[in-house]
Amino acid sequence: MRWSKAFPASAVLLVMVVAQAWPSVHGDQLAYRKKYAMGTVFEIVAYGPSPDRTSHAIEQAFNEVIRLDHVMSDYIPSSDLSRINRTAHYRAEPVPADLYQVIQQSLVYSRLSAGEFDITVGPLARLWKAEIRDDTVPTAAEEQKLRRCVGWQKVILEPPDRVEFRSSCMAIDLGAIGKGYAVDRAAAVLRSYGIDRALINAGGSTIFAMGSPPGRSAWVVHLRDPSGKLGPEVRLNGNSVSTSEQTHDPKPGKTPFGHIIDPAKGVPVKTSDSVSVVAGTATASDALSTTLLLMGPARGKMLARKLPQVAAIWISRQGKSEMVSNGPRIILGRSAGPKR
Amino acid sequence: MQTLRAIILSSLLLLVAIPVWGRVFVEWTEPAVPSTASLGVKDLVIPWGPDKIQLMNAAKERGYRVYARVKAQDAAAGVEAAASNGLAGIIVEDDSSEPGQGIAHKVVQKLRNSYPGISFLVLDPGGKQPQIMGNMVQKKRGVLVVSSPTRAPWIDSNVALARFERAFQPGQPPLFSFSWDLTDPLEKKLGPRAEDYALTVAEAGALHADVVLSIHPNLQKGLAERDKAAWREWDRVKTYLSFYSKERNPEPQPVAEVAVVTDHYEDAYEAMNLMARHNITFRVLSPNEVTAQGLSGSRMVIMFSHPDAQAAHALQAFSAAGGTVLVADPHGPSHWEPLPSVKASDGASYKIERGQTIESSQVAGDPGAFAEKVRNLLRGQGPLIYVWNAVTTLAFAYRAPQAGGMVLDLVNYAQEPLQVQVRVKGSFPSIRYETPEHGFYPALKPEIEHGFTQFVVSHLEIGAQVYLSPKAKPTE
Repeated sequence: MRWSKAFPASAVLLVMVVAQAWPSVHGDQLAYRKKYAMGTVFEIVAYGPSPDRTSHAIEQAFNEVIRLDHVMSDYIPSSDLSRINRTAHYRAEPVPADLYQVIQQSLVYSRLSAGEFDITVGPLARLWKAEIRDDTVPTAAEEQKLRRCVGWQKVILEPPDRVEFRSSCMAIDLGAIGKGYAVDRAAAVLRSYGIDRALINAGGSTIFAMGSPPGRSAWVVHLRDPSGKLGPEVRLNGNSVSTSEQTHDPKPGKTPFGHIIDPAKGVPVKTSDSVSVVAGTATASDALSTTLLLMGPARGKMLARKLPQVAAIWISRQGKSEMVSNGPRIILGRSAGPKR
Repeated sequence: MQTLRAIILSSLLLLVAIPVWGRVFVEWTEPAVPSTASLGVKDLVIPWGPDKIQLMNAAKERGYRVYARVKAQDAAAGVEAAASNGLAGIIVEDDSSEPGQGIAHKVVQKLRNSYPGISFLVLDPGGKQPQIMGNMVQKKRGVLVVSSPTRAPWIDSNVALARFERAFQPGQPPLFSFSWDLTDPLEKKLGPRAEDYALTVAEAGALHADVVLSIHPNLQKGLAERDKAAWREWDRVKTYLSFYSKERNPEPQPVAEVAVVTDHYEDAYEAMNLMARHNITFRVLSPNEVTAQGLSGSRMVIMFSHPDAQAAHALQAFSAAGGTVLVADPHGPSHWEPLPSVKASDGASYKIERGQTIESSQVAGDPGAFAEKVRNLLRGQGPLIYVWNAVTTLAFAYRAPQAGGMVLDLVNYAQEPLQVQVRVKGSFPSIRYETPEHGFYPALKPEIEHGFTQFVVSHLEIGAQVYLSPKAKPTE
């Protein structure tokens, strides 16, 4: 998995408006930079009294994202994740703190969702990726064989830094949480430079807001709306929003296709809904958006209600929406969002 | 004697007219300039002004071929100065938003007759800084907006512009310039990074186009003052300048599966841009080139202009022979309506012997979906190039001078090293990979199956070339 919430050629479309960003009474100035990392374009806008220092801080935040990509990517053969995917079968392997933490967090969401969120879908995701590449469909036998490799309960964490797979064919894929974790870490880097007003955008699919623009109470983010009818938006200040959507089938009439695999069924989940989730951290919003897409609105709402400061919206292509909130407000009925 | 003079004169004119491609014209504005050997370029462009004569002469002394850049209305004054100061030529800015349609061409044509010894080039200043784009943009009054018209990282490239220029300005290679997109305060102060310059060079080289490369004043000053940091940056750019200025004789010819027929740049721009994004190889034809000869070598024709009866006849024959015709401008009377068709929401499709013709209005509504449609229509026989794991990489195919060979130019707009997996139509047992940074890599090991060759490029930084040969080398 290359981090994108969708297959690389189809990162989730999310339309966002950041509220008025004029200079503050304190004279803070805006800096903006972008960087290609984790298979998508990371962008950061930040306010600070010294544009040079702010730009430098942003550069350091990007460096952190790139560092994490080399830890958590299963696409880079030399990454720590790729290493344990090769070697941690029935053997506790030491991993860097970041990797340990993100796996630990992933297992929390697996427990919360009773396995709907599962980072061990790696082998199945690879199988379906091969389908995309080679224009073939996995056989039932292939699929069945690989389903035996899946199961979050078979990931054993041995504090403080060891990971073991209790399966001979298990492989982890952090595509549904790693980018969110990287965004949180980028925010931490910005904070270490004294920056407290910034917006971090990971390809549109995960956006974290630090503080608010000068003179405003929040950053306004327009959410993905596959129907184009609802114009949903959310105000962020110290929290994050992530959006998940299944990749569309580029070959009409063929078998299900997509990057989000249903761990229970072993096949790409069939839904054209878009799900946006607001949560306190980018790690949480990233993980929850995939989880709630897999769960659907009925069960997803039940889970979201248990989580503090979480809001979610499911939007269908026909413009039907379902919402749940434990704090953050998702507002409907504004403009359908800006066009480039 | 007069005949001999005429022969010499016409030979000289011919020499001037020979299209040399892939040149980088470095634009210089600072009063001091380093030598041509140290800068690694031969062609220097200086914006025209009477106060620039001294700089022009200094640059000439340092070994450059100096060109004056002028606007069309100043071309006459510029050419006088060029003639009297021994400049290599003048570069005249086109003033039209439609490439090749401005008054610059008329002006140049007139001046060429009066000044046969001077090289004239027409510049399209409407290029874009090659780069990947995010979906956060700053609007007027400080409002920031995030929007993504496509689902993949957006790439700003000059592919569409270069293809259009090549069709409508056949006398010279496409020549374009652009303004750097420097939004960040630090970027504004320091200027583009070496990687940005290198990407510009790589893109122009891959497109077989010429480019005017504007150097940030800070970097110019640093280079002129022998600042070590500035030279460290420029040395990285020089690696690319050297790689893309290699002598390649004869010029490999571009391979294009699709012929895009249009005479209005803006109408076809978005679709061309997205086709490039999907690595669909295409060339541009003007509507009067829609003939059997003009269409030969293509697998698909996309009409952005309404075909007249003669063009419709040629398209009919093209479809009958197995080609696909996509009429993206279905306005006006349909030439195919009397035929049996399958209706769709955005048009109709007609089976014509071994091929088909499709009338579709989709392009106006969603160019991205249109490009996908083109990709899917080519899928039947397999598209010429397929690139995986590299949504920021564009590939350009050229027919190698050796029989049956192919050269692939790869450009990675993300400027971050990538592993790229490529599939090319055809059987190529011998594959060599060369990059500006590392030169030739050991021969790649391709997999050949079902008429396609697949290989992996382990490390693509910004630009690279792949040489595919149908014959295995004895040592491999």
